[in-house]
Amino acid sequence: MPTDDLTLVRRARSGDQRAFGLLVERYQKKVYAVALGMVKDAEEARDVAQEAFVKVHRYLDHFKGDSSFYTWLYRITTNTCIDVLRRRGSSSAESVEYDDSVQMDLAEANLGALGSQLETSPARSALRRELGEKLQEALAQLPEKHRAILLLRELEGMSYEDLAQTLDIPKGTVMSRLFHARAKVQRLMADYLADVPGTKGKGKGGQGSE
Amino acid sequence: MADAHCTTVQQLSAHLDGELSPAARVALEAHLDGCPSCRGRLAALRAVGEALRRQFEAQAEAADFSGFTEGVLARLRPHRPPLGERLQVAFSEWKTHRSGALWGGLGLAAAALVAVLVLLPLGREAGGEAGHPSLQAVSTDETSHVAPVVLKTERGDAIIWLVDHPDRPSLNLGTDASVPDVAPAPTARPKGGEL
Ligand SMILES: [Zn+2]
Repeated sequence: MPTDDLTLVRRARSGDQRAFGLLVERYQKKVYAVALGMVKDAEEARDVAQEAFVKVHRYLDHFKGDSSFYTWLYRITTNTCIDVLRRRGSSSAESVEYDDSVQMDLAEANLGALGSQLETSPARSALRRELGEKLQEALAQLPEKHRAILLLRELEGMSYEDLAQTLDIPKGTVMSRLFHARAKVQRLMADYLADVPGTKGKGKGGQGSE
Repeated sequence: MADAHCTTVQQLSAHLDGELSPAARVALEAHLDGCPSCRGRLAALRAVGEALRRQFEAQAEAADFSGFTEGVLARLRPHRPPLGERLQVAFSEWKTHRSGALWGGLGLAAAALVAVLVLLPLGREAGGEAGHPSLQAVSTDETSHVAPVVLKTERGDAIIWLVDHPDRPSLNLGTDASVPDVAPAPTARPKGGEL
């Protein structure tokens, strides 16, 4: 049975580097995936993910154990990503809390097909790759805080409670940020799919003809 | 058309996450039963989420993690107990030997000490043997690069010195929140003093 996080944290705290190594191995893929969604570049995502773990170790004494280790880890991860984006100068304006162009209007585009198009199918691999790139581009257009919350929700499946704790925002803000982040990505993907032959993204006007 | 669904549409995202209250959920599901366009929106939201998940999970799965952990471990500093604990130890050693070895015992480089020592009468009446300072409270301000350490004696005096925190990256730490759960700032404040 794998040792639980808190036990490993305690061991790492008392100087056991092997225990910390186990924590790194346990979370490296997840932390990397979030970092990749945030900074886009694979090489940089790897660096950021490593940096996040180094910071986690440096501040182990500040981890109180009143939240789970992973919410703390993701908090440091997203903050490290945001720092990198700011250093890079590609951070989106802080004032953009909501994008007016999205408003309350969720596109009704037929994105149901999107999921299946991303499945691994050799015939579709070119399209799949292109869709992946479009998704990354769409993500990159979100304000960084919206990007972070969307990734944590979709990749890690974090509850609103955990998201609120991790990002230090009220639950109501979690809800509205997630909505706006999704609506914007969906809109951007719908615009893209509308132009791809064979995928027939429908703009407005309802689903099918029933 | 979208206007009529305004409230509903906002709830779709939370519904997808299973975060609506039971009552709101029942109401929303009733609406969904009769509204194909909201069903379409919900399906689209779900598709975007799935697409994101697949995209990044596939990339993380394909990434090469060889040397990743080793790279992290190589960048770790040996873990040291918090400054407060190091102070406790150093101070008790200092009391025993009464030599000047306090700084050495703290494991701090001499250069890291920026300023030393303000003695402040804090106006508390002496109890116990005077002249025997003992460590009553140590606090460090974890957020600052230069951390004040406050040491209160039994007579109510306080010694404050500043330590250039060697663990702390000086300028580029960026977002404060990347150091969560920090200890509160020290409460003792100088009321003026003499050296
Ligand atoms: Zn509707």
